[in-house]
Amino acid sequence: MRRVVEYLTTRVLRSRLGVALGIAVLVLGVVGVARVVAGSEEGRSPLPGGAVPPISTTDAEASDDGLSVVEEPSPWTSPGAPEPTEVARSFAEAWLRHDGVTAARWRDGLRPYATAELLDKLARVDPAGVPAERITGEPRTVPVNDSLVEVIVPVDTGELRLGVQAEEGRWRVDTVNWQRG
Amino acid sequence: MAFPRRWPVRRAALAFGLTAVLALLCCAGGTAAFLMTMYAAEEDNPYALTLGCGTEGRIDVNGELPLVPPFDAQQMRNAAIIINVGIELDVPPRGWVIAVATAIQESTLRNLGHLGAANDHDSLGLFQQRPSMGWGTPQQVRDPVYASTKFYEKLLTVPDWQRLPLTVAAQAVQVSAYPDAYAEHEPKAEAIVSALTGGAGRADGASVELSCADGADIAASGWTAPIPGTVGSGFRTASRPSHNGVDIAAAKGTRIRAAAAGKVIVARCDPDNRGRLSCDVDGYPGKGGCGWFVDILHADDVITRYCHMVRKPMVKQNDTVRAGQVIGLVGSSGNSSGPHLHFEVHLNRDRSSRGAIDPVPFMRARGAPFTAEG
Repeated sequence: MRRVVEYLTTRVLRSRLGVALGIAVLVLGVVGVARVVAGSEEGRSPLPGGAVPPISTTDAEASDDGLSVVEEPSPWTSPGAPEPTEVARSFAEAWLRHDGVTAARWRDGLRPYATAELLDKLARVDPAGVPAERITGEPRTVPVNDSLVEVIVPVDTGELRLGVQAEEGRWRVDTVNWQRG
Repeated sequence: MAFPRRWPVRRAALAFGLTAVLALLCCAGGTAAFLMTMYAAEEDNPYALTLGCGTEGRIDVNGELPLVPPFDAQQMRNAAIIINVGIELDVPPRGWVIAVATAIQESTLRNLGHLGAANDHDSLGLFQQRPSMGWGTPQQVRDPVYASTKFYEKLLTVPDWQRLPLTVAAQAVQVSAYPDAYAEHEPKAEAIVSALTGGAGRADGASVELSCADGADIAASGWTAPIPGTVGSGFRTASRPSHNGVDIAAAKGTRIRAAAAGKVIVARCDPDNRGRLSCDVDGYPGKGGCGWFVDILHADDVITRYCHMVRKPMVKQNDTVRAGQVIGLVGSSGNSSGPHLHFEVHLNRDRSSRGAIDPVPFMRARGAPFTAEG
């Protein structure tokens, strides 16, 4: 017995193989203990609200049931009618002419370039509250779809962002957003 | 001659000690690391996170307040005062979001004095109220509590204000020359309200009880679940890596609601893989396309998409919609083997798949999770 122990300690455990075995035992032990403490992965119930097996109404093979065509917006203007950027600039100029005008005169200036809905939203507005004086740069146009574009007009106090919308190719400003620069 | 005999013993002890220490460091450290990563994984797991929907009571405006970038402590304090006044007046949390968004637009949440030549007329204070228009004396409108009180008093007189798009409700009070400016501050206002109140942005917007928005409720954030039901097939899963949205099974004809106020930018039939516009019949797997669908553009350049409607959508291009407005009915048009809603969320106004994000955490963060009761 003593010889066996002696043989183990002096030969086997000091050999490379012995050291390797020792390390392997340690590693397995640690992983095992950690597993036991943490609980098994499979045993856990699916998380509430989590994505669980795909439902039968969709086919995993037909991977994408989303949009097949993402068309590039190409705004269309009725022949002879002004382009949206032009309409937006005219609107911005009229919107900025607010000093010493009555509310009625100010809205009359906007009327040719605005939708009826926008004129409604501006019905009780006092033009004295217009927060800018002049256009300071070239308007930038960002198309959204074939009948909606956003025109960003730089003004002295920030940016005027106008939503310009077409009805049969005739453009009118429908939304007015001013942001401080 | 004790040395030769004692050295081997010391060496053995030293070796043993070192091995023990190293083993302890390695194994105990490893075990600890293992357990800690398990724990961290649980923390990172969005499903394990419980998001609050607001804690009752006023905010301590003199205490340390959480910051929501880019706003500083003074701006957060002004927002806290606005919310506290809302609480005092029994205004439900949707009103706090509207008030904070309005103040961001009007004053960037700074209690502005007279700005000289740059001032618009005689506007002053957090809400840029004008003494000449009967809002109060210059001293009064520069008092944040007075200014907020006046704002809420007028908001409460606006019919159906809780369900109006934010910018419409705000403009009804402010009557400004830029009626559509308030919408873009809605996400920031919601983030501020939620940060200061423990999540009131996710509460039912129309109730002073601060209960989590549920079912067809519209959260104070302005968002609501499009249909009742939980997600069956998730966003970009291992088996469907190009699935850029989530699928929610529902009976044919279930009403689909706009998830938030916005502008319909597309409402049409998506062509199938062979270019046919055949959305009035049930589709099948492999047909291609999302059938009858609607894209809505919301504040902050977020787009939501609703696919596979049973027939032509109830809204058309360029319509303005309210949160919760019915826009169409569940169907199975396009690439579909049964009635369901395929729902997508896109950021940066990017309609392509590059703009798509996982709708589940997005909707949950806004108090509009996908639930069976939805």
